[in-house]
Amino acid sequence: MARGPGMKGAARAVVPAFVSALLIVAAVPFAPYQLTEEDRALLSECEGFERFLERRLAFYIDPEAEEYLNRIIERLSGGLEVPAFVRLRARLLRDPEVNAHAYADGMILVNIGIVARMRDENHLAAVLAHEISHIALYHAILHERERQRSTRLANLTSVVTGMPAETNLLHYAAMSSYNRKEEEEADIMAVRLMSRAGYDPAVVSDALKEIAVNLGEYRQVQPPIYVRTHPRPEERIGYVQRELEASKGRPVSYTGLEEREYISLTMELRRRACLENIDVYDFGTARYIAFHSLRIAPDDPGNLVTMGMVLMEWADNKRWMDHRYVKEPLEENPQRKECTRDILADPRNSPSFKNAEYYFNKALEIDPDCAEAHKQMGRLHYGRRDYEKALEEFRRYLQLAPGAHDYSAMRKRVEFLEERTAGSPKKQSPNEAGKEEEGE
Amino acid sequence: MMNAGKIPWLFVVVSLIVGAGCSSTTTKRTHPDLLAPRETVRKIALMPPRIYIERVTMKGMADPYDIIADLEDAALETARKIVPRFGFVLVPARTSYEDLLRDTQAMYDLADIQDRVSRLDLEVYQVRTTSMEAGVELVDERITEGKLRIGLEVIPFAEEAGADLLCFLQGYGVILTGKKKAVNLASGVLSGAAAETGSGFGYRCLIVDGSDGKVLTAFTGGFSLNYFGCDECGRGQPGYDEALKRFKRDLEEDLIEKLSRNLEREPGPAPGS
Repeated sequence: MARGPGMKGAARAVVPAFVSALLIVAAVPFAPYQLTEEDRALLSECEGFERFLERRLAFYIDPEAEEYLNRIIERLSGGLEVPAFVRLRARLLRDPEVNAHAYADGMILVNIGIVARMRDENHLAAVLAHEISHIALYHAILHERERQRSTRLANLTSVVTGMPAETNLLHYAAMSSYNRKEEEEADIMAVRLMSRAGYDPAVVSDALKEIAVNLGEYRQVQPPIYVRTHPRPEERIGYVQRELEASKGRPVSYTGLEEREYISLTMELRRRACLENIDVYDFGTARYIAFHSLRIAPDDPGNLVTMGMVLMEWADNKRWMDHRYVKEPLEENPQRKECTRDILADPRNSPSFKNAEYYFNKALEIDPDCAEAHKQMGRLHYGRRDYEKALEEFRRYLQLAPGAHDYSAMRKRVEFLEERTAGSPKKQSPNEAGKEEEGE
Repeated sequence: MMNAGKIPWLFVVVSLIVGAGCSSTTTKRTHPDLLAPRETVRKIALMPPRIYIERVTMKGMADPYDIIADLEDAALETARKIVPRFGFVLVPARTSYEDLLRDTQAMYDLADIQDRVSRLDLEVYQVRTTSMEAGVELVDERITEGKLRIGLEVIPFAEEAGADLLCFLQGYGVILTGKKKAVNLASGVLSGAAAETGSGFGYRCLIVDGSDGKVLTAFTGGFSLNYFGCDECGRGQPGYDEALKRFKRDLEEDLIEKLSRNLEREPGPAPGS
């Protein structure tokens, strides 16, 4: 997805029409481009946006993974004459959505969700090639110009018709068609960039299939925002295939990291992506990521604990979500019958909850001093209202992780549980109250 | 991610613009712990303010990051000036990006806490109303009864700073440029519908118990941002410094009024007065 920094900037001056035509028709990467004053303003806003994200603590901090992404970018853009105002670089965003964004100044924001979801380096390279193509075709700059032109028109129309510019459907339709055209160009150029860099260009099509599968998984959560701006995956696969057939010939000279190495290198990032997916209730994607990490490193206690957490949170969340269904008479909605049957039986005893316990136990078998496994096991017992066992696990966690960031929070939880198990009057748990009020 | 909680904020801004000066209600959103006079001095740490501004121009919506950064700094400066006047002692909190880079888990936790604060739905309940009373008193029972919490994750931040309380300030504003106001006005006249022709700013302030994440007081406030309405407003533009000064002054006045009402005490004298 190509973006200006938050969709603003300016472009009052018109970029010579032949440059646009050259970029769009011939799709020449980094064709000579003369910046206007408004373009410069847009570039400076891109810088402002990066600082803004830092202030919002939105980045995922992993220098090793970021460096790896930058190496792929370097390979893909090698030999291209990049203008001075573009500094190609990747920044990892702590966002679980399967998405990435390109900015006019060369910054590519890569969500940890997409890094974790891709199968190997080739797939990730296909995504990065798509984003580099947006930058190489100056899509962010041209898009911004088009958006401003269209909005001005919508504003003028609103003075005549009384219809607010913000609700002008013609404006949205025009922009939507423009977006789709840009995406098609970027997909086609991605095939060429992959081929130039020695990667297998057919992977672009595979990566799109992967994204299509991911899209099919969105049922209970909102689909990613790019659905509104990108053509349908089947359509994209169609024109990418045509481009692949047209550009046959160049041999594959570089395969990049294969699945095992790729997953091992991004293991920490994948665990974080699982947690972020849990936060947005996308348990399907979280389980997918945890499953593949576990497949590569089945004896890694960190992976076992992560899988256990996904299953535990899923079962726990189901309890809240299904609460709504219970209110509905079963015969009125037979499709929900199965779902409702699960909730009527206590979800704490559901297979997912038991499986979570299995994974925590396995992690503890491999490493009895795995602090995180003790903490999660404590949470599981707490969920089952087995406070004695929960207390025992939490105390063990405190012993094993005296320097942990959440040490004091956990100590507070232990104090509360000690109070409760000592038989003092029943009091609401701070954790329970917090959850309730946050609407989780 | 950036859009989280935008709609409720927009609602706050619109309500503030529409409802300014029309309300005679008083809202109680304070836990008795914070109201009761205390022997011990309470130390408070200000968490980094989060402000988001959208500029609506003829060319569409824009996010003026330079203004956002300046307003966040201005809000922090203002809060630093005001909070001690209510009897709290300010202590510095380790919250800058550079500091947090050394402890990424703390960074992620702080971002989550801030998100949670912006998602909080500060409901109020009507408790009594008679024709003899000047207004209606509204109470957020969750706060007065100590049931509203933002999570135990706040504890490490309070402990690190040596603070008893943490203060969160978050705001959302819309700046309409002159031309856009004129277009909205014309379009509103033609359609007969109410059109948005003013720039507004809404904020919420929470004071939280650092030992368990309990919200001790919370309030919302707001004022106009019309003085930012120039078409090219931004750093270095004529009138920008003056607009920033007016923002600080408005925020200061509003904060003093709301804190006095919520904490049921008058502010001490301004430093140097």
